[in-house]
Amino acid sequence: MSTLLFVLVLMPLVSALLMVLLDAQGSYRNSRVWALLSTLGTLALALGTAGRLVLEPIGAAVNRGPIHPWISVKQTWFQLGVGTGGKPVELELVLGMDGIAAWMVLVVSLLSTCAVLVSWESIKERSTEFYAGLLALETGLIGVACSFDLLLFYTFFEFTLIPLFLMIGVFSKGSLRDTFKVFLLPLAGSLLTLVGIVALATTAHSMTGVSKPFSMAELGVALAKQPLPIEYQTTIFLLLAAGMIVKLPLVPFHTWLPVAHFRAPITGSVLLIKLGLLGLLRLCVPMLPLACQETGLAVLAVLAAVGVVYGSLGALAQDDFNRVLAYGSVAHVGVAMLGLMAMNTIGLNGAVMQLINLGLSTGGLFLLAGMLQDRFGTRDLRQLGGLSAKLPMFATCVVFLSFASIGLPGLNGFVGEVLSLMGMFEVRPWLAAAGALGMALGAWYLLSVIQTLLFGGLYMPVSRTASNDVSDGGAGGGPKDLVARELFAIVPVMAACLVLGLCPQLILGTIEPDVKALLRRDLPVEEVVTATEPGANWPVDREGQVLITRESK
Amino acid sequence: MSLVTIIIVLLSLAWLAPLASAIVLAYAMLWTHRLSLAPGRLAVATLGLATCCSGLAALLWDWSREVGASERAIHGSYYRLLTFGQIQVDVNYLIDGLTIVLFLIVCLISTCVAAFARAYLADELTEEYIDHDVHTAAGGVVARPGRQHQFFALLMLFCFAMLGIVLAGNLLQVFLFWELVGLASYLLIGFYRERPVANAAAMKAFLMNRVGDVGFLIGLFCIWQLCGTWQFDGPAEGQPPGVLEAGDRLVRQHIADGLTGDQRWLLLVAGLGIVAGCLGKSAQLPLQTWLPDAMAGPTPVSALVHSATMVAAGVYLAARCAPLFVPEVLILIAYIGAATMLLGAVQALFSQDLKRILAFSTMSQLGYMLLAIGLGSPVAGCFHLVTHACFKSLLFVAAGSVLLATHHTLALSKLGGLHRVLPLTSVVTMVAIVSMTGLSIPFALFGEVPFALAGHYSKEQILSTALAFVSVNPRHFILFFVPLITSGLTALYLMRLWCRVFGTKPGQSPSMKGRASAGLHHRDHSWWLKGSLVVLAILSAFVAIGGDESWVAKTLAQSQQVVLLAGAATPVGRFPSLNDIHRVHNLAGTLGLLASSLGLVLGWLVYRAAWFPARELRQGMSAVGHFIEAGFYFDELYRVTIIGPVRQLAQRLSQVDQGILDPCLHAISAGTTRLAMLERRFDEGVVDGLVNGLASRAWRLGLMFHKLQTGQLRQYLLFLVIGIVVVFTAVFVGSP
Repeated sequence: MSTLLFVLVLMPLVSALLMVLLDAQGSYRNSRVWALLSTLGTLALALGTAGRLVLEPIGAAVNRGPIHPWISVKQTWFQLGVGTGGKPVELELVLGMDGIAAWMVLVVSLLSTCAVLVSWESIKERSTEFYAGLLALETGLIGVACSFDLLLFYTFFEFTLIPLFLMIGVFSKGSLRDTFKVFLLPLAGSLLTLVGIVALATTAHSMTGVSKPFSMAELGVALAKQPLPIEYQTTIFLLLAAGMIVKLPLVPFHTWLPVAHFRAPITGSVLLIKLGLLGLLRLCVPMLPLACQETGLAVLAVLAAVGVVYGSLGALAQDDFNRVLAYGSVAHVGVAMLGLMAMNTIGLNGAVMQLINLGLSTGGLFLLAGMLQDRFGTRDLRQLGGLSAKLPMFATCVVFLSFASIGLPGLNGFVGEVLSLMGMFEVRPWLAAAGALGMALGAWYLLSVIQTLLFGGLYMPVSRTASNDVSDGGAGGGPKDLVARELFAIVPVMAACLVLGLCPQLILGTIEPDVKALLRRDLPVEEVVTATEPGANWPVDREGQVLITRESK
Repeated sequence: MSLVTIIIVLLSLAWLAPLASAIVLAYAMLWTHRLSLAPGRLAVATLGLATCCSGLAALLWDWSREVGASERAIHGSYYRLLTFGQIQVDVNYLIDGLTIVLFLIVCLISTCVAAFARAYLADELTEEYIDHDVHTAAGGVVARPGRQHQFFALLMLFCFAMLGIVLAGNLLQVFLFWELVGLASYLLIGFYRERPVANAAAMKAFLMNRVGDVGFLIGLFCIWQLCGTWQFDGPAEGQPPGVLEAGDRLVRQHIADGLTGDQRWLLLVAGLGIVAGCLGKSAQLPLQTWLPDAMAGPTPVSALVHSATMVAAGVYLAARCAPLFVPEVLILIAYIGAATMLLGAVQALFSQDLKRILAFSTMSQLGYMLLAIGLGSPVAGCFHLVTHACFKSLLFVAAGSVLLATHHTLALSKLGGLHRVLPLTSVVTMVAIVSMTGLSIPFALFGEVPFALAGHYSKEQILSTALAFVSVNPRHFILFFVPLITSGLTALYLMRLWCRVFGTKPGQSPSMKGRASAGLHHRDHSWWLKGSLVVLAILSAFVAIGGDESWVAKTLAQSQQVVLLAGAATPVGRFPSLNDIHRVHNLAGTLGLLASSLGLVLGWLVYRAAWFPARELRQGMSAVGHFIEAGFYFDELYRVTIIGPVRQLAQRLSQVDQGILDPCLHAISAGTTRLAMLERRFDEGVVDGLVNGLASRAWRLGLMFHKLQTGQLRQYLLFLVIGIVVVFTAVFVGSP
């Protein structure tokens, strides 16, 4: 199963390369089929590996460090030097998967497949570049989720920018300035993160003598046993967080996001998963807990609370569907950040759920926005209205996913929001109250969209499709409702929203061991497992949990 | 199977049947066609089944009391929603007297309303529904396919959610169905989604509720902090108590001044938060303005959702959570209830629209219920909830019957003289009015209690609670006089309603009568409509027969303490005990009866006998009338103080993004570019100069050496030999 990880991470990238090398000038018909096959293959693999971990959370080892891949592949790249006692200090690359990663991988591979399906007809020019970019992006996202060492994590983290840059550059008619804004601002932040990563590894090595300072698992255990002094923590935290804040984005570093969503072709929008959250979760929470509790709560949580209100209000003032959603996701990310910075189990659980939910419900809405663009050539809310009369299925999907996004109980958004805010409420009630206010405002902007876009009098621009059909003079003129291909894309997302809403335990049960471990401070000095391999002969305790006492060396 | 299990199964069935039916109906187009009557039949049958189940459960519940079951409530769990660590949230149930009564009432009324809806929405059974209230840009009317099946699907969804609230065993589950009810209400108000008015009303309702729900959510967080659970009742002996018990204990500690500062605040905010949720749902001040607008939905929706059940959910929650409220919160509820009841009654008196009058009246009656809860008598509030649900849904169904007969004429000025045309509707409306005003025959006809229709008993309980409270706390005298005055006003506006709609207007009679009968749709004669009118009329009349000894009152009283904080002296005053209430019972009843009779007589004189010309009365106070008709300008107030500024702020913020944050970024990038240009100049001027200089030197050197290149082999050989000698000498000299 571990070797499958390699395949899972690299498959989209390899098939993108193959596509570019073998058939660079090919027609869109070939490239889209190739892209669909690759994404479906990745989805199947993801279901096979991640899905298995979701159904059977094997990472609930009793003695485990804060970060602990349930399955992993390790490779020492080179020796950095010799540490105390003559032990070699190595740079180890680790690809792995834990409960959080499993869900991320599932969501990413699902959304990638959906994105191909939705772009099916709309991307005909330069389709090879487009689909190659999409597949590369998928690799980047899966890679970030599955990296368990600092170097790979950073590499994939940065790598996601490249396909996005290319796609926005190639396919938007916007200015180069916009493209650079989308690319350079996150990059600038990320470089600080790189400094932070190096600082973390070197400081941790010199203070704790950890032998593999780039492996998250080793680092986590070492720093849990012997935390860094607070001033080191704060400095490194600020460096690390710089990149994440921009990537998330938190107010006031959010202005690149609406531009990105406005300019990007469908796929770019759908796949802008909030990697910054994962970064904070993997790097800052377990390794720099004191800094998170002090600086994080004082700065990031406040920015997040401001962001919730700011984003919701900003969304209210937009005219383009994608820009509304972009501002909305600033608000949603704010809620997740509130949970994260609460630094308690409830809040962290909420933040992870919110991370997954955002992918699903906001991603789904972006898919729908793409369908809108396909039909009318615009997403401008001022030019569209009363579409429910013409496109009842489309309208149903928009309403469903909007309510998922608003946080209607029974759909996925609710549990994540409530847990995040509850976590924060224990620490800073006022920030949580601001977040709750954001929920009300969130309902406002989405209902406004529904009201203008779907209900009321029918109003639409004379689009390509519409004019063609009207010239036929048929009664069924105008744009068509969702076709089977689009339903195949959107229905699984909606089903996931419903299932996760009714049975949030599916996520919580998987991520719980990881989230709990993130906050563990009572590690025994000995007997900490840093990796497990699924095997048949695990000792099982009374409650049916797998007991793993010690890694066999 | 034990009795308890049977009750649980029956109620679960009654709860889940509407959900199943909703799902089936949502896909009605797959198994039937648009003109089919089947969806309506299915809906009525489902609700009928649910009614039977809950009726049976009620019987068994009674029986189990008789055979000596002692536990106050049945609770248990269906399904674990989420667990992490020691935190567990279940989908569970709490069945006590309150649940039993409300289940039965909700099911009964839903059945009647669904039957009525079949008649009312018969015009949706068409491929081409022409909506006269919507016009295209060109001025034409809009035709759309009928969608009766969608209506019934939503109605079933609503029933499922409503019953879910009543059955829920923990606060998070209440919140879950609370929101679902909000969603169903949103979709039902906006059922005529082509109409801009309906859309705006739906959105307004959802958002105003959402504002309350934010409070509710914060309340939930506080309760979690305080109690560590959301369960109403503790799961078992020896385990931590549920919210209600823990809350009750905390409140008593609070009164005895035994709480820490943090706990005090949390308890206060928890109460206020839940109350905020209730105010939103029950359309009380200051979140009341959505209810009249919600009348834009189809009349059956108004009858079920916005009068009998959903708006009552707020009252239900307040009653359920009453043990959690500190006295300060309770008194706040009481004052809000009193203010809303007066406001609603006055607005009803001045409104010109049949359905809006009923909506205002609903607001006003909900105020009564909250008043009772605030004065420490949640059971009285729930009792009124039950009776109100019956007569108010009857009034709405009757209004629907009027609308059907008159081509959806809502304006009072265009109605009149319908008694001759719709005799049944007129009579049952009178029954509802008598029930609501609380008229009674002041001497005992059967046994001890005076004979009266349902509304009398519940209103009397509330009035006597209020009187008892005021008599021990004279400074809160307003809490008795407002309900008393409102009681008179209620009678007055109901009389006005009946006279203007059914009565013959003075001087107008013949023509009115002719017009009405000419325009009459004889759908009033549909058996579904008649049936639901009659059943609801019977309910309105007799549901509470026997007063305090009636089944409803007794079963409700089993659910919790009949009076909260009985006799406890608190910072806001002493709460009356049951004895205090009994002592003033007769006095309160008499005063209430007096007020109502006065109102009725006045109404008759003004609107029927034209003893005082109503028209002149109106003209005399037109300014006030406008003010009141406009809803005391609450909408304008919110538009000016909240909606406008928020939208402004939103615009400003996106301008900040474009005007400040972006320019900053661009300035940074421009600065970087300029720096790069400087660097280029440096490179070209200094570095390149240096390099070029070096290069030209090298070139010149090359040219110099060029001269050595003569092409003569001997010369080259000579250079070679010299070179080798030099190198060897250098090596050997250099090495030791």
